[in-house]
Amino acid sequence: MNVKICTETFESNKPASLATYLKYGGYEAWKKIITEKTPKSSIVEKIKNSGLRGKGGAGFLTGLKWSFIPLENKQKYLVCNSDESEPGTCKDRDILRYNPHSIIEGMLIASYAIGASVAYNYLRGEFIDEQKRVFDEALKIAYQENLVGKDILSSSVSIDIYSLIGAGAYIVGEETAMLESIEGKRGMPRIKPPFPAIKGLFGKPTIINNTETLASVPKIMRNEPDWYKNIGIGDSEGIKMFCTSGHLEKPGNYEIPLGTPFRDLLELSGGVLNKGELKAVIPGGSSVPVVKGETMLQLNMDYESISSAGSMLGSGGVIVMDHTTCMVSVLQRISRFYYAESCGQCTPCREGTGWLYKMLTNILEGKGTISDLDTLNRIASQIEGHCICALGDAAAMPVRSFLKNFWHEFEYYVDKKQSMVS
Amino acid sequence: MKIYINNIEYDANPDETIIQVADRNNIKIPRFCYHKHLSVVASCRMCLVEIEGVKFAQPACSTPIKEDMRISTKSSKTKEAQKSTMEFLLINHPLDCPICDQAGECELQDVSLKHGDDHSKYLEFKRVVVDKDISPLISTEMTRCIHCSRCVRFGEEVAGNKELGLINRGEFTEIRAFIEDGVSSELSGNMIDLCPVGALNNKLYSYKARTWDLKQHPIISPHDCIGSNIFYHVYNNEIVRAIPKENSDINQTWLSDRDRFGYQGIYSKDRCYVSKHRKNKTLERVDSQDIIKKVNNAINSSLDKNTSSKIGSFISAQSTSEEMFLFQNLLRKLGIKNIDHRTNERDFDYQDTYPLMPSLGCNINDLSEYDNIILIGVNIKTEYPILTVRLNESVKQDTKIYSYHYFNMDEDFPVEKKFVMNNTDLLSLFQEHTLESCRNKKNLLVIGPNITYFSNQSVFLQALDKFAKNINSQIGYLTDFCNSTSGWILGNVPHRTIGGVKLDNPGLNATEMLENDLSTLIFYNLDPENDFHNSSALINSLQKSECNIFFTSYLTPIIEKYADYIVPISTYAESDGSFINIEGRFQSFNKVITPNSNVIDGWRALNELNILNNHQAYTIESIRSELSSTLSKIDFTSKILIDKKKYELDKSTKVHKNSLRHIYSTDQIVRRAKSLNETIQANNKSVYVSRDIFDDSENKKILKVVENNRVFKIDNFQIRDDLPSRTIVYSSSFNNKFTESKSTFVSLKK
Amino acid sequence: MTNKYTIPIAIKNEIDHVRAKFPSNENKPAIIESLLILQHHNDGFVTDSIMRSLAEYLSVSEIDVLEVATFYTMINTEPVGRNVISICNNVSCMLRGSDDILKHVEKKLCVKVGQSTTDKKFFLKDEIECLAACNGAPMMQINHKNYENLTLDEVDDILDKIK
Ligand SMILES: Cc1cc2nc3c(=O)[nH]c(=O)nc-3n(C[C@H](O)[C@H](O)[C@H](O)COP(=O)(O)O)c2cc1C
Ligand code: SF4
Ligand code: FES
Repeated sequence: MNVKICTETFESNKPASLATYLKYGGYEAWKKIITEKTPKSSIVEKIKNSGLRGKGGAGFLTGLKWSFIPLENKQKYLVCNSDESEPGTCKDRDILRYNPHSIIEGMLIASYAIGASVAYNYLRGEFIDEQKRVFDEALKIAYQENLVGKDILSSSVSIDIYSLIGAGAYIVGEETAMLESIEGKRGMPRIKPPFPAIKGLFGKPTIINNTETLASVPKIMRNEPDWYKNIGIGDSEGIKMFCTSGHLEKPGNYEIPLGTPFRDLLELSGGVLNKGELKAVIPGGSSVPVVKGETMLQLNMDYESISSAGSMLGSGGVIVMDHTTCMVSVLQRISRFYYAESCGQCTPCREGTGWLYKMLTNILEGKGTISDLDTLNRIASQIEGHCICALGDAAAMPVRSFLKNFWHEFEYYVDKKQSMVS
Repeated sequence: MKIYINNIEYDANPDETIIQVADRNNIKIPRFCYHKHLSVVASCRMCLVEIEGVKFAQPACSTPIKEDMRISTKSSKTKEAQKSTMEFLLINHPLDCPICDQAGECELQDVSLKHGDDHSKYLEFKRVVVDKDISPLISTEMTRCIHCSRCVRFGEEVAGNKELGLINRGEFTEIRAFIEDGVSSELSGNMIDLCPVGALNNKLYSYKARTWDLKQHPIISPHDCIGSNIFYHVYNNEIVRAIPKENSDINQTWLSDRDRFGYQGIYSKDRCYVSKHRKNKTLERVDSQDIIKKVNNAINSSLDKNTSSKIGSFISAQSTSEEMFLFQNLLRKLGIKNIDHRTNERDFDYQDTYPLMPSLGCNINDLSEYDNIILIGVNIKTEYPILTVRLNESVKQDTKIYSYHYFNMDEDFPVEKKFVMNNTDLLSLFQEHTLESCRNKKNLLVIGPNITYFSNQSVFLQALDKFAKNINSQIGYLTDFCNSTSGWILGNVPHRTIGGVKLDNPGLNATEMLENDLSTLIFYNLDPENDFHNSSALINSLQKSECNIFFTSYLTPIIEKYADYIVPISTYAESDGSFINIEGRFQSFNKVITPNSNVIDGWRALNELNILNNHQAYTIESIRSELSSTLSKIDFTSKILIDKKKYELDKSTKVHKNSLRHIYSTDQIVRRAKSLNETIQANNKSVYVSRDIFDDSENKKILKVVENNRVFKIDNFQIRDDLPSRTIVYSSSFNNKFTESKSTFVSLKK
Repeated sequence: MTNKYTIPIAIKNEIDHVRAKFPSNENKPAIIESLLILQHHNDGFVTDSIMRSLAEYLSVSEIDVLEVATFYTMINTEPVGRNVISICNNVSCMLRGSDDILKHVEKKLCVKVGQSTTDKKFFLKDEIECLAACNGAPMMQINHKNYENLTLDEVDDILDKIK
C-alpha cells in the first residue's frame, strides 16, 4: 500500500505553501469541525478508534491520552513536541519544513478536542533558522486566513498557536521537562503523578504530542477511522515515518505502514552501503536496545515484532551498521550522548551516565579489564528503573544490549586493546 | 486507608506519600532531598523502597500511597536500591570526613555507614568544584555537594528570596549564587541546617569543635518579639553555634540569621566584667561582693536626701521577665514611681488608652487565616525575618498583604499593594481611607515599632484606630524588643503596675525623666548611645544628676564617663530567664553558659537589693509562679481604646525625619555580633533624602538640617526617587549627632 | 559590580513580543528566548550585566536567569567567535565519517572543540551531539544553517566562503 500522510506534500514544488496543503485536502477536517460544531468527545472517540499511537517514542494511544483531560471548563493547553533530538531521528524537522500546515491543523483539532484555547509548538533550538522560519511563515498565513486565532471563520471558536524555541537540551523532549522549559526554567523532568493531563503547563491540564502524531490527525479526521486502522498490522495500526541512517545507500525518511518488513525498508533505503554486510540495527533511536543484523532481517517494522526481539520501535530512528562497525566505539558514542544530556537531578543518572561513559572511554583507550564489562552491566542495571524520567533507562538499555549481543567484541577489545574490526 | 509497611498495618490518609506515613510511625527511610517543609522533587533516589507488585523500587518521598499497598523498607530489593544510590553519591563525594565540620551529624556519613558498600569500585576522576564566597555567615565546600537542591528550594519556597541556584547540568551541576557574596537573605543560615552534607557550613563554627563534644541547651531568641526557639551548642562553656529548636507554633524548623548568629554579641570586647564605683572623679574597681551594698546605700541615701520623685529608672525591654518583675518590685517598694522601658519613644500621650500590653492579637499559626494583613510602618524582611516564612505560607493560602510605610521597603513575600507616603499624608489617608478588598473579610492590621518612634504617635494610633474600624479589622502590634510585652504587663511603665493595674498618681515617663533634672538615675541593661530617643537629652541629664547607676553587660563611652556605679550583669544566655512573645506566650529557659566570675546574675542582683531592704526574697521558681498567675488573668487581645481627646493634624511640617530600624542594630547584643555586621544588609547605613527637598542638580554636596535650633551638616547621603516627598530617612545605626533625636519634624537650611 | 547594561528599546520590544505568548502573570517563560535574542545582539554571548538587566526587566531573580543560561547549550556565557560551527559527531554521523570531518576542522582552524579561533572568526562549539539530520550524515551547522552529506573538500569550501 502506498499511503502517505505526513510526507504527502514533500515532493511538491512548494511543499510548505498553503496552496499545496489545500490541494491535498488540507484544513477540510478543521473547517468541518468548526462549522458543524462537532462534539469534542466524538473527535476523541474517532482518534481512539483509529488506533493512532504517539510517534514520539513511547507509542501511547493518542485518543486515550486525550480522554484523560478533565471535562470541566477551565484553561487547558496543547503542546506540540518538536524538540526532536533522539539520535537517529530526523523526521519532525522535515514535517516542519515541508508540511507545516498539517501540524497547525493537527494542533487546532487536538486543541479543540481537549478544550485548549492556547497551543504551543516547541521547536528545538537548532531549528531556529530553517524549520522555525518555515513554520512561523505557515502560521502567519493560517492566522491571515483566520484558520487560527480569534473567532475562527466566525465560528466563535478561538485558538491561539505560538511557536517557541528551545536553546539546546535533549532532555526537554521529555514531556514534563518540556513543560518546565516552556515555563522558563531548567528543563528538568517532573515527577509523575500528577500527569500533565491533570496538572501540566502552568499547573493546568495539558496534552503533549509529538509533531508527527499531530500532523497525522487531520488526514485521519478527513477519512473514516477504519481507514487508518486498516493500514498497519495487529496493534500497530496505521503508518509511521522511519528515519534511516548509517551505512545505507539511500538514507532518508520513509513513511510506510506499520508491519512493513525491515527488508523492504532496507531496500527503500538503497540497501547496505557499498553492498556491505548488515551487522546490527538500532531500530528506534539511540536509546533502544541494539538488534543483530540477522535477527533484524526477520522482523517487521511494528511495535510487536520489534519488541519480540527485545528492542523497541521508539521514535523511528533506524540506525544501520555494517560489518566495518566497531561496536565498542558506537556504544561509547551513545554513552557520551546520555552523559552530556542528563539533566542532573537524579543521582543514578547524573553520576551513572558519566561513569558508564568514562569506563567505555577507558576501554577504547586500551585501559579496560574484563571485570569492567561486568561493572558496566551492573551500573546500567542500577540506573534502570530508578530515575524520574526515561533518560536513565535510555542510557542503560544500549549498554546492556550491546554487551549482550556483542560481548565477544568487547572481550576482544579489552584483551587485545584494539577493535575486532580494524 | 490502610497500608502495610514491613507487614505491619498502618493507618494512612489518602493524600499521603509513603515517607509521610513512615515518618509518622518512626519507620526509618533514608533521604536527602526530601524535607517536610519543602516541595518534593524526588531526585536523590535515596528513599527507594520495594512496593509489592512493582518491578523497580520506588521513591518513598513522592509515591502516593494506595489502599493495601505493601511496602518493605528492609527487603533485599530495597537495600540493593539504596546501596546503589549511595554508591553513585559517593563516587564524586570527597572522603574528607576527618576535616569536615559536618562529620558526626552528616546524613551522608550516617546513611553510608548503614547502606553503603565498604569500598567503591569507582576509579575515575572525582569532580572538583571551585568554591566562591557566598556570604560572611556561610562557608562552602561545594565539592561535597550532593545536589539535593534543598538549599535552592528553601530560598525559593520558604525564604521567598532565591539566591542560590543550580547551574550547568548533568554531572557538572553546581549550586551557586549569581555573584560572589550573593547570599544576603535574612534567613540564609537555614540552608546550613538543610544541607545534609558538609557543603554549606556555619562559618562561625568552622573548626571550633567536633559535633560529638557539644552540649545542647534550649533558649529563646532575645532579638525579636516572635520568640523563636533555639538550641545553643556549647563547648567548654562557650556557645559555638545555634540551631533551631523545632516549635511548630513559632519558628517551625527555621531560625533567622539574627537569632542564629546574634550570640556573638555575648563575646564582644565591650563586655563589662568588673564592678566599679566612682571616687574622686575616677572609676575604681570594687569587689563584686560589695557593689550591690554600695548601690543600695546610694539609692537609700538619695531617698533620704530627696523625695522618691527625684529618682528615675529605665529598663531595657530586652531584659528577662524575671528581671523586669524584680526591677519594678524593688523600686515600687522603695516608693519610686518613675519607671519606664519605652526609652526609644517620645510621645506618651496615648499611654492611658493603650491596651494592657502590645500583642499580635492572634497566634502566629493563625496568620494564614486572615484574608488581608495590613502592615503599618514595618518591614518584615529586616525586622521580623522569621515572619517572612509565615507570610509566604499565608500568601500561598490566598492571604493578601498590604503595606503602608514612609519608605519603599522590599519584602520577600508577594505584597498586593504598597503605599509609600510621608507621615502627614499617611495620617490624612488613615482618617478616611477604606481598602475596598477588605470589605466583609477577615482582616488584621499590624502596627510596627516605627510608629511608636513618631513624635506624634498618639495622633497616629488614633488615626489607625479609625482606619481599623473603617475596614473592620483587628489590630495587632509588633514591638521593637523581645520582651516589650513584659515591659507593659509587668509594670515597667510609670502609669500602671504589675498586671496593668492603673495608678492614680503616675510617675514620669521616659521623656519626662530626662527633662526633670532628677538627682538619681538608674539604668538597667541599656546602651545610652543607642537605646534612647534622644541621647543628647540623656547626656544632659546624666551631667546634672548626682548619682548614675548602671546595671549593664557592656561598657560604653557614655557609661564610663558618667557612671557612678557600674554593676556588671549577665546577658540572657548567662542566667535563667523568660520572655513573653507577641502572642502572649511565656517561654522560660535556663542558664546556658557561666559568665566570668565577676559578672552578677541580673535577677540575683535585684533580688539582693530586695533582701538588703528587708523585702521578700525570691527564687526563680517563685518569680515564675507569680508571673504565671498574673498572666493567667490577662486577656491577650489588643485594642486601641478611643481617646476622647481630639488631636489636631499638624500640616505645617517642613521635613519628615524618620529612622529605619537597622536589622543588626536593634539591640545591645546583636549590635555587637561581629559577623552579622559584616553582611551586605549591615552596610546599609546611609541617610536618604527625597529629591524634592534636595536636588543634586544644585551641585551641593552637604545637607544642612535644622533641628531644635541646631544645624546638622550631613555629607554622607543619597538622594532617592522612591522616597515620598519632604522626607529624610536614616538607618537607626547611622552614627551621627543628627540622628540623636528621633524627632519627626525638622527643617532644612539651604 | 560590573557596569550596568541597558536593554535597547528595540530588544525590549522583541522581549515584550515573546512575553505576549504567555499568561500575563508569568514572568519566567520569556527568559529562554530573551536570552537568545540578547545574545544575538551581543556577539553571541551574554554577560552577567546582561543577565542582571534581563532579570530586572522580567522581574525574576538573577539566579533564575543564570540557571537557565547555563542549562541550555545554545546560550553562551563566555565570549565566542562570530561564526558558530557545530559538527554532529553522534552515532549516525560517526558511521558516515564525522570524526574525520571534526578532526579536519580542528586542524584547519587550529582549535579544539569548545574553543574559538584567536581572530574570533569561528567558534567550534562543543555541541557535537545529534542535530536531527541523521540521514544527511555527516553534517554540520554553521550559524544554524545545515550543511549535509559533507566531504572534506566541501567543508573547506564552505569554511573558506564564510566572512
Ligand atoms: C529523554 C526523553 C527524550 C524525549 N525526546 C522526545 C522528542 O525529542 N520528541 C518527542 O516527540 N518525544 C520525545 N520524548 C517522548 C515524550 O516524553 C512524549 O512521550 C511524547 O512527546 C508524547 O507524544 P506522543 O504521544 O505523540 O508520542 C522523549 C522522552 C524522553 C524520556
Ligand atoms: S533520569 Fe536523568 S535526565 Fe531524567 S530526570 Fe533524572 S537526571 Fe534528569
Ligand atoms: S528523599 Fe526521596 S528521592 Fe530524595
